[in-house]
Amino acid sequence: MKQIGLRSVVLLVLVTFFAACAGFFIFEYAVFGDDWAKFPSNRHLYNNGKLFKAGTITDRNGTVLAQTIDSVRYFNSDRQIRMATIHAVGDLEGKVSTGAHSAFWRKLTGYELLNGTYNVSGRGNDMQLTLDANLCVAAMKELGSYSGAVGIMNYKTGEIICMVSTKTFDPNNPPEDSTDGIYVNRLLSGRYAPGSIFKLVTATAAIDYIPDIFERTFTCERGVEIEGEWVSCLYRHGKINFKDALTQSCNSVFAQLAVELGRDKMTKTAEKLGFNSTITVDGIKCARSSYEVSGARNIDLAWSGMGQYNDIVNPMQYLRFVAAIANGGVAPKPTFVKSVTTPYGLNINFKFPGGGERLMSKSTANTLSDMMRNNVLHNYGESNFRGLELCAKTGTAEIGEQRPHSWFVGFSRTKPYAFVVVAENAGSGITVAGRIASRVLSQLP
Amino acid sequence: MEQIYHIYYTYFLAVSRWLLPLFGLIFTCQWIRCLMALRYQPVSLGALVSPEGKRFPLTAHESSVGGGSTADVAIPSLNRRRKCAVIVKKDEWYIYKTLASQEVKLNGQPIDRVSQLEFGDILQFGDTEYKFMPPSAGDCKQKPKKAQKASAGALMFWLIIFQIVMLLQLLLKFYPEIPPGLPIAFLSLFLIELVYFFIRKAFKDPNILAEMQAFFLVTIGLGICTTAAPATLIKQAAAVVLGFLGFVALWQLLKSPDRAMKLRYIFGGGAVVLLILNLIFGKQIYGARNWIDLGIITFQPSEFVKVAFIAAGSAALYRLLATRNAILFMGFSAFLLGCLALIRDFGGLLIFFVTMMVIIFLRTGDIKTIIAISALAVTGGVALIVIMPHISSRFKVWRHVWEYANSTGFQQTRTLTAAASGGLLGVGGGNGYLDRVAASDTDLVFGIVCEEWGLILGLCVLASFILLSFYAFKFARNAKSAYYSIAVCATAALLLFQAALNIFGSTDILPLTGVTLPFVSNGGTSMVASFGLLSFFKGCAVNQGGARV
Repeated sequence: MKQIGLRSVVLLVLVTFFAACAGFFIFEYAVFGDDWAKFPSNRHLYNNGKLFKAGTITDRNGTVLAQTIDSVRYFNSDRQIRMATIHAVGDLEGKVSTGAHSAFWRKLTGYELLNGTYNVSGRGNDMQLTLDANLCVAAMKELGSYSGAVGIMNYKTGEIICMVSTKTFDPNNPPEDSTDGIYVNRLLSGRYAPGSIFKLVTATAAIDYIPDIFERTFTCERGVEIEGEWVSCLYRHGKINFKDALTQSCNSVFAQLAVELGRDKMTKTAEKLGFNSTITVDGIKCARSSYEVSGARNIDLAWSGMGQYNDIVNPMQYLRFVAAIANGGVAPKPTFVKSVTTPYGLNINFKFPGGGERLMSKSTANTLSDMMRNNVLHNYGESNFRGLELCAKTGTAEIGEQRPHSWFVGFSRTKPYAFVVVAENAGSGITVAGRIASRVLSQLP
Repeated sequence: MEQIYHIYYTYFLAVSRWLLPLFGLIFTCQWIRCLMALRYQPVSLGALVSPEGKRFPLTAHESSVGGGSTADVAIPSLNRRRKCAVIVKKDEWYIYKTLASQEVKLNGQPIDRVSQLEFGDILQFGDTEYKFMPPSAGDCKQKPKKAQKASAGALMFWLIIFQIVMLLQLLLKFYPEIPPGLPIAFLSLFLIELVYFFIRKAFKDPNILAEMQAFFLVTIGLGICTTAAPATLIKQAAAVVLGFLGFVALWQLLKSPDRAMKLRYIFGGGAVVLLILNLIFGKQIYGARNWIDLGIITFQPSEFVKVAFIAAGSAALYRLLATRNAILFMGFSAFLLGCLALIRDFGGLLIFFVTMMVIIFLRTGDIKTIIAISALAVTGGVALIVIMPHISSRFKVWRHVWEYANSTGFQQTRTLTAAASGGLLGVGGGNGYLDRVAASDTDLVFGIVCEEWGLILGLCVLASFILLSFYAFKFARNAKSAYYSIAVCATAALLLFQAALNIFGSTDILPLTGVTLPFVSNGGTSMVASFGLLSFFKGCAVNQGGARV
């Protein structure tokens, strides 16, 4: 019998196998549980593949953007509002993966590990966004037929009040074919050649690393020769100083500066400002801006200093950078969720104070701010932006044979808002993006 | 009126979804305490005394005599590799000769096969003589008693409370359209367990733990049946009653090891006949052709074969040591496995295979044979997977269910979604959606448990099968006959492996094979057979050697 007793250890081998499977299941449950619940066939939350069990989503003024009545989810009755906010609110089938319905699915449905999809009231949590629906509509109208994005963020609090991406769609009449990337929120997920707006990065590096930058004079011969190759400029600026070079967006000066600063300092500055890393908005990962010159020749480096070569910018990352200039060098933590309220009225959207990150010194920020102010006063026209004390920079990103992308970034000194406007294949920065910004900013609250 | 009930229900659900996992956990913890409190100490039944006066006490009812340390009576002068005799205590004492070459003489006469033994007899192993003597007080060191308080009454109490809360929640949920089977099923379960509890109390039976665990699983099974297939509740309740009666009958039948040994051939023959009938009259439902339709009822013969297989495969120690290997048993097993392969019951095949390996190992301890058979099985398994299309498609989807979410991964993805939707506490009985998936009340029950009753109760179900194995492990070493030890270990292994295939198959940890979860899944045959298997636990528990402390 002793021997049989010893052999019964074989049971413990099976128990170990069983327990290992159980442990693995518990691990998977803990890690992937919400992905499993987020399956559109889950009838606790979805009706015919469409989310219904979620709280009401409103904008900052209380305008209802989406709500559930009798197990059916409705968007705002106004088509313009639906189309202007769909990328922030998100569709019900998870096609707009960065929209609230998808990205804040847990908060909206109230799903959590303890209770699963159950809650006593039978409804999810309400969510107020920081967006201003009317401003979003204005931005969408001004973008018109262009694909592109408009983002406006309070540079003191990080609250995004306008987040519009085109081409867009009406969730009540979703298009049959989904070409043109209509489900992509271009503000968060777009990646574009930046053109001259990148000169702000080169300028930041120059201010930080070249002590006598403002005493220097440069020469522009409608371009400049870099190691036997020609970098062209739009105009013959002749003798020009650093400040005027930014205002006139002189390629010759920034080409020389990029080469003088070199790969290391340019890369170091760009990375400090948010390039080559992923920023998040309420946990949503934005596309990466990239500045990559490790294998570049000097001529490439020169072009990279003015936003050509292989520079790539994500509009949200750049908005954060511009907001940092406006905010004395500190980038606020971007967000578009104002509050999440449980059915019992408890706000569960905890925000920790001091989430900002310093991107540059205060003096560098102020210097850049003054130079950008100078751009508006002496080039873009103060009359276009009355009452805003605007500081800005244009960009016209050349992309091969296509029409260039049109950029306009900046901020107001009278109202705490920074903005980014990008219109794809639209033409020059000031004529398209500048005009869109002028009209949208005039409606700032 | 209905609205008032709905409000009652809402409040009751909000509270009871906390209570049920709590009671389930208390039940499980109390069960573990009860198991730990059951202790047996070896008692000397007799002794062999060497010429020098050294005593070799016999503490087991079946004691092997040999040279190595694995022998119950280890006599240093003997051959280390083989046991030469088995001394068995039935009503009288017997000595059985084994296959070993050493001669065993009783009072100077060589033993042919078996001989009765009396105190005072002289046994000669090899060239040493031993005197068979009555036990003496100094044979076993008695460890001091430890006060252990864990009563089966408390266990019963928590089980009843658990069942009442579950029943109330379901009644309120379905009012006013309460399925008639719901009160009937729960009342018959109450009746069975209470009557059984008091009868066993009258018999002073200290160990009704396996039965309690079965009742707990059956309760959860009835809860699932209520939401997934309310029309079958009465049938299921009948299966529970029938299964329970079968359990009692089989346990009484196997009460004496001698009778159990004789019945082995009948069980073996029965298993063969059942499977042959299945081969001839089998009907295909969901891939496997493992159903027989008798007009009034349909049943799965392979479920009953599980019981017969274990009853036929277990054996007493003198039998094990009198044969050199388990060839007859292996031939029998091979026949059964062949039949199952022909009826395409892949899940059943796997379960039988694992059970067979456990039995072979317990009988022979021969690791080489185990490895050889495993190698053969892997080859055969690969061949099976290639040949049978419905099996290969199951392997293809394994660990990739979300890529086939609406085809071959349908059941698993729905199970995972349901399990996650329930959270730790569940959404309440009848409030889930997994019950609408085909075969969910048999193959995907774990998902329904997690969805409606919560992950905590799901883990209690998992724990049930692990705890039954610990139960078997604990009592197997102290049984009066190796028959019970082998039977209880094989049963525990079978239940554990079948539960693993069901639970981890539906959750995509293992490939989905479509087997039932014992005691929980809806299905008459499975329930009756599960109770049949329970009698091996009981058989082992009531045939414990030594003294309870």
